[in-house]
Amino acid sequence: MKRIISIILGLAIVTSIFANGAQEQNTNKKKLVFWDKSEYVQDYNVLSKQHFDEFCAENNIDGEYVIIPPNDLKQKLLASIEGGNPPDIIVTDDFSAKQYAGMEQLLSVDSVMNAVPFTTAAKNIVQVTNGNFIVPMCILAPAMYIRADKWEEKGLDLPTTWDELYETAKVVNDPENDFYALGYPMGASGGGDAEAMCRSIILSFGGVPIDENGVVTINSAETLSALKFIAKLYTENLCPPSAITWDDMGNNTAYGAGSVGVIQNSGSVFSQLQKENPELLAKTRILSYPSGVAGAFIPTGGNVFCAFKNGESNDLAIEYIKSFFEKDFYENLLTKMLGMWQPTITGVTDNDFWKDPINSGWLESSKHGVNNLYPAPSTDLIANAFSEQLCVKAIQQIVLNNVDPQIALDNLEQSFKDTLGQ
Amino acid sequence: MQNNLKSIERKLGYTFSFPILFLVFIIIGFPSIYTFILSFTNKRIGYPYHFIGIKNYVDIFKNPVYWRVLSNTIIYTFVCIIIKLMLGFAFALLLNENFKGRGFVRVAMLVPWAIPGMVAAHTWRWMYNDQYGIINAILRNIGLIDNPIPWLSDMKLALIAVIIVNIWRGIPFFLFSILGGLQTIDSQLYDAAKVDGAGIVSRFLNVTVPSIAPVLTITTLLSTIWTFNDFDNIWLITGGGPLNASSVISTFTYETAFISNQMGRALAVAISIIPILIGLMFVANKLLSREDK
Repeated sequence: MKRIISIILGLAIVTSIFANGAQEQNTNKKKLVFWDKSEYVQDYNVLSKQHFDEFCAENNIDGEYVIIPPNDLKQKLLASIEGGNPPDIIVTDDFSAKQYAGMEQLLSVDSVMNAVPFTTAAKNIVQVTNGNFIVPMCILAPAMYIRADKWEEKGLDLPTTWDELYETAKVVNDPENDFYALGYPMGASGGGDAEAMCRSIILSFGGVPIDENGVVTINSAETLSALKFIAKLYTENLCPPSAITWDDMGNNTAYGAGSVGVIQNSGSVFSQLQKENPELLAKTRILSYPSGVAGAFIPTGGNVFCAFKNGESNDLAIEYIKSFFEKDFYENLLTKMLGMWQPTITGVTDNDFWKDPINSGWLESSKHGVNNLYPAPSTDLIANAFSEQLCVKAIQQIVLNNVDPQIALDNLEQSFKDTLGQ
Repeated sequence: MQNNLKSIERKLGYTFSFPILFLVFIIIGFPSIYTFILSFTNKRIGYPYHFIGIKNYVDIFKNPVYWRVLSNTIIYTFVCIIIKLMLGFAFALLLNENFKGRGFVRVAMLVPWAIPGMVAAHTWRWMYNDQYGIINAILRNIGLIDNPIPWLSDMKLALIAVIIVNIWRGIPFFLFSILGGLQTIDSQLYDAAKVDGAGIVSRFLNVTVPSIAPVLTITTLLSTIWTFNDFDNIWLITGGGPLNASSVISTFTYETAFISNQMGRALAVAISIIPILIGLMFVANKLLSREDK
């Protein structure tokens, strides 16, 4: 009996091995792996997946569509690169993508940049020094959201400069009733909001983190003033205590909950309020960033495509990226994003959606920002310095460890130089 | 003849052991050796690497953040183990007694252990939130605090916050291991001790503790190793922040490897704690050997 059972089990194992081998021969299709960014507006991932599935069906290939939260992408991607098994295509933030360009991991996208009519503003956010490796998918122009009702209650004008913002915030601030005037995140969570905000203030105070020649020039009197200004927003309790550790979602959540009066964010908040909290949207004004002595610097980035050299299907990856910008699909996608996205190609804004005053405001804003690394050239090391949130960590040192601002700035300069190998 | 048989048996033993030893070498041995080698290089993912000698080790030992993180790890492990052991023992003694609803309480005590780590971490993170977390809401409502406590963004409180979560999750392991040991103790030992005039404390110290000493040793050792290497609890709640206030060796290694993309240095950090873990194994082995005698 035991012998019969053993023979049957052995035959079953052998049969399954051969059956699996036969199945592998029959499904000898090419495969395309796409790691997409998890977006705040769910419609994006639904439409993106649908478009991807249609592309795969038309080209008779196996498609694998994976949604990855932005904070998790870098770790997963580095692990896959090290394992020699990166995806074919990813969607990520522009500053994040620039790090991979320097690693020589990315496929040239010259054919995409030549075939698709990208705008000048779009080309600016994807420039890297060693060629064309990044494709601009959309621009995410940020703005300042402010609870106009809170300012009007106190008879205050809406602020246009950083000093005005600080002075009026002190009046509006009401922590005893769980309302903080400002909701600026300052967590070293891997996102871009906090570092972009720091650099925007440093630039508007006249400081320059890294100059146009790639030299670290952050240690200046202007930057010191900027760091002191940012730190006092937290030490004077104008932001919630936990804001010093918020990730990029923290300010969205706090504003939506009505617990903060000012945030700076892309149209993601606008889209969210339109759908979920129109009453709060009615109390909100969307303004340009405050300015400092050197003007206003609006760090503007966007979502971008990259294709990996060591992916399995280079040609298909390039063709898929081109197909994303087919007019009907792209126009429809933009309207579904409710103004959160601004287009990177010409010829898609001549419709009623972009004639709406709010949407046209976002569109106009997308044309006048500076890229996140401004004025430095876009190299992998400079992008890495942004990604490591060095300015954020300097502010945390001042606020949490009571480090003298000049010492924090000296350490910040050294951190920049270490990262850039200077 | 007997020597021949022994020789054949020995050879058979090696032959049958070879496949599993080979597998262990492939899965554990080779990666460990490769990790050790890479810790002497300037390995960064996506770039070629070069041998740089002991520079990584010199850099990490000169870095005050490394010593901060190591001290956090030791404090985290020590405090968590002591409290889990004490509370686990106390609850085990309680649940070893007969009372109404004991079965329900036993099942309820399993919940922290049964909940997936990610769910538990996100739930605690929400509870700790200074603006809309339930902990601050309750403390304010009962008048214990006037202003919300920034559990996860205060340099002194962040580590305490993650210690609390580790203790909450780890008590059931101690509880049920010790409870199992308690239930194997012969009640006649207690009767004999009572006859000899031993009080409650004396019976606990001279009957209970010695009887379950092997269980205590192995439970504590395993929990120490797991707690020393704890990652998901801390990473998901505080990310090791603010400013490494709650960072431990595992989160610091991860951050160095994948956020800063300094794989060589990260591997040096990981290798640097092996002597500590070997020390723990040595102590445990000594204790267990003493029990066997």
